[in-house]
Amino acid sequence: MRIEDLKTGQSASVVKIRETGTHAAEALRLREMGFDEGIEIELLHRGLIGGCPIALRVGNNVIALRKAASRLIEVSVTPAGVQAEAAE
Amino acid sequence: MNAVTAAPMVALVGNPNAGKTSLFNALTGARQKVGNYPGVTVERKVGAMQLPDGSHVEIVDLPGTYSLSPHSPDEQVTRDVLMGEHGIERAPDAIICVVDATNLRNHLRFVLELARLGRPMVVALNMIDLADRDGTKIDTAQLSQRLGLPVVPTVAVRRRGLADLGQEALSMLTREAVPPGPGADIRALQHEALRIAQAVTTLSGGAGAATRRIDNIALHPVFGPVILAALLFIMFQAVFAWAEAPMAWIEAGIAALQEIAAGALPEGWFRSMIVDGVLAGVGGVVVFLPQILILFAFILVLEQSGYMTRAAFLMDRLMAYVGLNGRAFIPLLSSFACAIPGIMATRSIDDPKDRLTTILIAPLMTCSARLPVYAVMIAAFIPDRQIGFANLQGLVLLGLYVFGIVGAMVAALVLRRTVARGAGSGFMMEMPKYQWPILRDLIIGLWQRGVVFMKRAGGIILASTVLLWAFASYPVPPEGSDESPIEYSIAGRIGSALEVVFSPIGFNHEISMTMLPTLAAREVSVAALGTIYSLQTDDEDALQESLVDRLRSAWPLPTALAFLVWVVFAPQCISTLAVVKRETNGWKWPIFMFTYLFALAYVMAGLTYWISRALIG
Repeated sequence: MRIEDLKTGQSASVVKIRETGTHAAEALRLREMGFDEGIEIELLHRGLIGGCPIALRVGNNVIALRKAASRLIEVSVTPAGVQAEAAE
Repeated sequence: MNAVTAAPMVALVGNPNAGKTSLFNALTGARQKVGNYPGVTVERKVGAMQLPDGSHVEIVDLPGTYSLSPHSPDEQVTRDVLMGEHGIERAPDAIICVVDATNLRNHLRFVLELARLGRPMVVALNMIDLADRDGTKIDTAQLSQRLGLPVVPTVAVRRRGLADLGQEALSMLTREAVPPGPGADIRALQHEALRIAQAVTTLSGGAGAATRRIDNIALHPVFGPVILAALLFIMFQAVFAWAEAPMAWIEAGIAALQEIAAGALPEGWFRSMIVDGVLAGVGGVVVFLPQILILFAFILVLEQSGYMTRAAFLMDRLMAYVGLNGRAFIPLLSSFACAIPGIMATRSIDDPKDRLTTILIAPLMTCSARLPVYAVMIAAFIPDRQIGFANLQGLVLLGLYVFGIVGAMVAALVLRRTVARGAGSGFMMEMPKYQWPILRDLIIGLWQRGVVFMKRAGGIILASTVLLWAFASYPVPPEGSDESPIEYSIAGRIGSALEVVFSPIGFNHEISMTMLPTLAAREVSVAALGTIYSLQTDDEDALQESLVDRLRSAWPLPTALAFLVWVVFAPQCISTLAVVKRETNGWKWPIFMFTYLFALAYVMAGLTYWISRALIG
C-alpha cells in the first residue's frame, strides 16, 4: 500500500522502493535519508492542505517529504500497525 | 604561505544534523576563517586545532552530506575534496567523520562509504548523551572493531571527548592512505550498516519522546501555522523595536564624526567627499547592522533548535503552489530585513532552478531600507484615521508588505514557467530532534554572518555612495546661477533626462531626480528628496516633518500612490545586484533581475497612477 493511505500514527514497514528510470535519483535520495526495505516507518503528521507534505518516522529519524516522492515507497502494515488500526 | 596552511589538514565530514558545526566550533573555538570556494558559492570554513602534542592541524569543515553522490554544489565540494579531486583544496591527511549516536543505522552507511576511500579516519560518535537518555547503549569497542576505525564518543555541545578525539587524530596523521576500495551499491552499504548497528546497539528505547510531543503541537494542522505566525510576529517586532535604539546611536555617532570631520578639514571637495560620501556611506551600511544581527540571532536560534525545518514543513505546501519548496522560506524571511543575507541564504536550496527563482524574487520582500520611505509617504498622504479596530496608516503599511509578497508569488509562478522552467527537485528533509541552542555556536554564527554581511555589502555600498556623491556634487553651478547645485550636477542632468521616461506614470521632476541616488540604498530617497527641496535642517525628525508638509502640498495623490507602488517593486540597490552577480556567477541574472523589476515596477506604478487619477478625477 501507499504511505498516504496510512492513518496518522499508524506504523508500517517498507516493502519496496521503486527506483527505475526517472525515479533513480529520487530513490537514491530516499535511501540516503534512511528508507530501506524492512525498515519501520510511522506516519506522524500531514500538511493542512491536501495532506502534503507528510512527516514520517523512519527508524529513529523524522523525515519530511512530499506525497509524490512517498509514492515511490511501497509499505505494508506491520502487526503493531494492524493492532493500532483494530483498536480505533 | 603561513604556518597554518603548511600544517596537516583534517577534513570534518558528516550527515547534516550530526552536530558537525558544534563539533567544529568546539574544536577550533574562535580560530576560524570563513571564505568561499572560488567559482562556486560554497562556504569554506577552516580552523586551527591544537593536538595533544602541541602541534596544530588545519580543520576544514566540509558541507554536510548524506553520501558521496552529490545532489548540490555543496555536496559536490565535499565529494571532490574527499576524493582528492578538488582543484584548489588539497586532499585531507585524515578525516573526522561525525556520527549521530541516536541515528546510528543511517549514519553508519556514510561511514562505510567513506571508509572505502582508504584515507585515515576517526569516527566521532556524537550526541552520545542523547543516546544514553533514550536508553540506547552502544558498544564503542565493538563498533570500532567492526568498522576497523577508531571510534571516540563525543558530546560536542558540552566539549566532551575532544581530547580523545585529538589523540586519535594525531595517531591518524602518521598513517598512510591506502588505495580506495571498490565503490559499493547503496543497498549493500545499507545492509552492512544495519548489521553493524544491530550488533553494537542494545536496549533501543522509545527515542525522541520529547521531540514527538513538541511536534504534535508544532506540526499540528491548526496550531502549527498559528505558532509559526506568532513567532514571525515576535521576530519582526524585535527586528524593528529592539534595533531602534542602537540604530539611533549609530546615526548619532556617524553625525558626530561628520561634524568632527567638517570642523577639522578645510572647506573643499575633500571635506565634502569625506563627510557626504565616505562617512555617509559607512553610516548607511552600519546603521542596518543592529536589525540584521537581531534577525540573524532569531534565525540561528530557530535553526539550532530544530524549529526551522518545521517551519519549512508548514510552508512547503504554499511554496509548492508557486513552484518553490519549503526551503525557500528561510531566505525569503531574511529578505524582510535585507535582501543581501536572504540571497546568501539561498545556498541551502539544492535545486538550481528553485534557488534561482528564490534569488530573483527575494528583493520583492519589503526590506527594512524601504521602511523610511513608506513612513514619510504614508505620513504625508494617508489620513491618520481609525477604521474599526485598525488605523488606516497601519493598514496601508501592512498592505504594502502584502503587495510585495503577492507580487513575489506571482513573479515566482511566471519565472518558474519561463526562465527557470523545469521540474523542481521536490522537498525532502530530515527533521532533527529539538535541542536547546548553544550560546557558543550562536555567538560564533552571529559573528561570522555579521562579518560576511559587512564584507559583501560594505564595500559595494561605500563605493557606490562615494560615486553617487560625486555625481550629485559635480559639476558645481557657476556663481549667481539660480539652479540649485543638485539640478546642475551630473545626477541632476541624468534625473532630468529620466523625467521623459517617468512622466507617463505620473512621476514629477523631483522623483526622477532621486532615481539615481536611490540605487545606493532605498532609504536614500528620503534624504535625496530633502536635498532636492533644499530643506536646510540637520535634525532628521525635523527633516521628515518638513518633508511631509512639503510633499503634501507639492504632490498630487495619484503621484504619491504611484511612487509608493514603485518602491514596492522597484529594481534593487546596487549591493543587492552585486550579491546576485556573485551568487549566480555572472552578469546575466543581475541584469535580468534589474530589467524585470523595472518593468514590473513601471507597469504597476503606471496602473496605480492612471486608475487612481480616473477614480479621484
